[in-house]
Amino acid sequence: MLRPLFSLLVLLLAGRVAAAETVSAPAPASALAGDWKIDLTRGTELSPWKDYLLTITVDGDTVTLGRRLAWASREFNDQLTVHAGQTVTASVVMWPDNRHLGAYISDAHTKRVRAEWLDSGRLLRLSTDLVLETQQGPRAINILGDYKVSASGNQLTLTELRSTRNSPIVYFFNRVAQP
Amino acid sequence: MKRLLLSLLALGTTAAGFADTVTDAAVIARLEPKKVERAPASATLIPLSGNWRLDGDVPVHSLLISLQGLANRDYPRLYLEYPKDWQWEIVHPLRDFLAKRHGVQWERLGTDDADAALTRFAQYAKGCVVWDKSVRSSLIVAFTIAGVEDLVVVNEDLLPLAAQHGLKPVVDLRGKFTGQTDAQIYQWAYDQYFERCSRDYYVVMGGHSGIEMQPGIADFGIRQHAFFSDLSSNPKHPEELALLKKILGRQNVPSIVLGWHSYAKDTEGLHTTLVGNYGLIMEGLHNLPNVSFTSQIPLTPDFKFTNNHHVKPDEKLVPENKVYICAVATDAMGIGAWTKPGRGQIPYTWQVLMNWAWMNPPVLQYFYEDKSPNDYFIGGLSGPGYMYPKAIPADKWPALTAVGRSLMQRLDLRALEIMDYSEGNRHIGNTDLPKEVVDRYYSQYPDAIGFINGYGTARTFDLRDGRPFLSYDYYLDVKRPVEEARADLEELIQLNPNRPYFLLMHVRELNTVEKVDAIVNHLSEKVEVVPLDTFLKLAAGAKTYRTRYKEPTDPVNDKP
Repeated sequence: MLRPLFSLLVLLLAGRVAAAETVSAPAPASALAGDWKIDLTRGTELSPWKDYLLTITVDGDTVTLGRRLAWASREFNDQLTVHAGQTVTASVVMWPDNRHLGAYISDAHTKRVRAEWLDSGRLLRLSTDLVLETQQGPRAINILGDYKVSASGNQLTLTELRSTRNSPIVYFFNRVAQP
Repeated sequence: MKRLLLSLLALGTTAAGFADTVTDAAVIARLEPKKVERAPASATLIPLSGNWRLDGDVPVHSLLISLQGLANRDYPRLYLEYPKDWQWEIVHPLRDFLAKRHGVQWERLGTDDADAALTRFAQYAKGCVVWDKSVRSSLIVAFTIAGVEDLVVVNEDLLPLAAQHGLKPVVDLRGKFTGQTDAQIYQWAYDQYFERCSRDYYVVMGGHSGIEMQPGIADFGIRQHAFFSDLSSNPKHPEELALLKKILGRQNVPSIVLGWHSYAKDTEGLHTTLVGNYGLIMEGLHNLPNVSFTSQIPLTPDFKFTNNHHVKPDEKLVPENKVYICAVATDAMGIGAWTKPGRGQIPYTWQVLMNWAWMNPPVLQYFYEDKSPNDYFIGGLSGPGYMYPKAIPADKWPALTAVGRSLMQRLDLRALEIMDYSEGNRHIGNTDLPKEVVDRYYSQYPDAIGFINGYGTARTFDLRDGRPFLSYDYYLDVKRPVEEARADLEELIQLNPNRPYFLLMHVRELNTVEKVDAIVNHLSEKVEVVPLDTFLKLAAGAKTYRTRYKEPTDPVNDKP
């Protein structure tokens, strides 16, 4: 009897450790941190934007992601702060992800975002729930976004799976060298 | 001919059931270049090279364009054959159309042959105006002076050639503007010449900047005695903006602003907003060529504008529970897909520049006669010409809509496309209309079977008396690959689960019909592609879209 209980305890502890590893494994000072400029020669076509600068800062379990999307003098900037293992509610001014679509952030102007570190901090996963307004009314969607850094640490791949889209969106970024 | 046009327009207004305080016929009569009885039996044709650099062939092109404006002032004599890669692509097809349909025999001279051109046409000039090679804006000022003083535009290298043809310098701008700002240069031009310029035509000679210039519209501006500038509408340039406001404020309402804003100074949104503030009409293309020639040529007597209507104005359609797609191209008749592969393959809707009915008749005749059974025409853009309805003061609407209604009737157009970048664009801000503006469209265009709004996507929707007011749900970017565009449309279909779903798609002008066909007819969802009149009638039959106008809380960009 003792042996099975011990085994169960070991399993539970192992599971707890594993879960902790998944949720909040500290990023190795994180490789994600830095400025990342989109590589327009690869990945999903970016229009209507022509430039995408992603700025990531990591402070323990707190990660801040800044986006600067631009087309000539037209710019959109936003910033999102998340905490690994937690879900936050963030305000949304505009939904810039695909401006070709007649889909707009709902009147609530918010989104719920859950962040997780995976693979020892090499990968940040955001699960975002928001409501878009279309000509027919509100529509809840989920976006699963993976931010992955290459082995060299010089390339970041952002893969987004949107619940309403049949195909993934993939953007490649190169690390911007600090002066 | 003008009397006949006036009668037709007056008839159109009466038939529309409108007793206008401002008559559309009077406005058009004031603006319209006089027509000759019929196209000339023969005319001179001069090909132009593909070099549009100020240190290249722009000097000789400017000479030829200014000469064209003068030679064509009272009769269409000279047509310039712009290169095949010219942005306005109809130069060559129109040349052949004018020969075949209007009986014009072309007498072709050599490429850029200014000597031969002056031999034929120097008699229409009283001398020359010399621009300063080191001051770009001096060339733009020279266009104003050319129109006012009947002078050919030359730089110092072309002075000997002008002299050979008896043309002496009357105005010499060399060294006059050295070290001056554009605000100072155009202020001088304003002080010297504005009083003698047209109050019905102003030319913003912008578009390309720096070492390039493509002054294709200058012949018409010179013919019409227009004031030329590339003054900025950008608040970053307060002195230029102040002078531009003074100029626009002194023009007749409504009147025409030809050309395009300077890519180096301001934006399309800022400039068109400002033009609208004064109740003026933008006819926007800086390199639109040969209008001094074509504006005088009437339609052939056997021609009438007829559209490919698919439903009667009072007909009711019952939609099925499926997805309907309508593809609309703006600006594509001249600078876009009209001459590209695929036209005729699928139902397709084209926005017509309505003022060409009186400003450029043979061009519209060419498009109307060249249409396939699948091509359907609508009016635009927001009215007669290119204008932003939110920017136009309410008291300036009646004069504009009177012209718009009249031209829609004349051109057999039943739907109107609207675009407004005064508070945003397809990137930021918004392109929606408040209820009072929507009310104005419904009341002032009573014969329209419906309205469509946007350029990029928008979300102004309404339905009144069987007449829908719909916005674009999709914008097809030129660079959007077919696979991504399919994914976009499939996502929209997911985002809008009710059926019928009315997916109005705006096609940027350089996308081909072939590409649109490859997108819409290979979706994983079954859809039906229809022309806009059918689309509007179906949308009137099942209102699955929510009524919405621009809300006070919508994001606004004050520098669109």
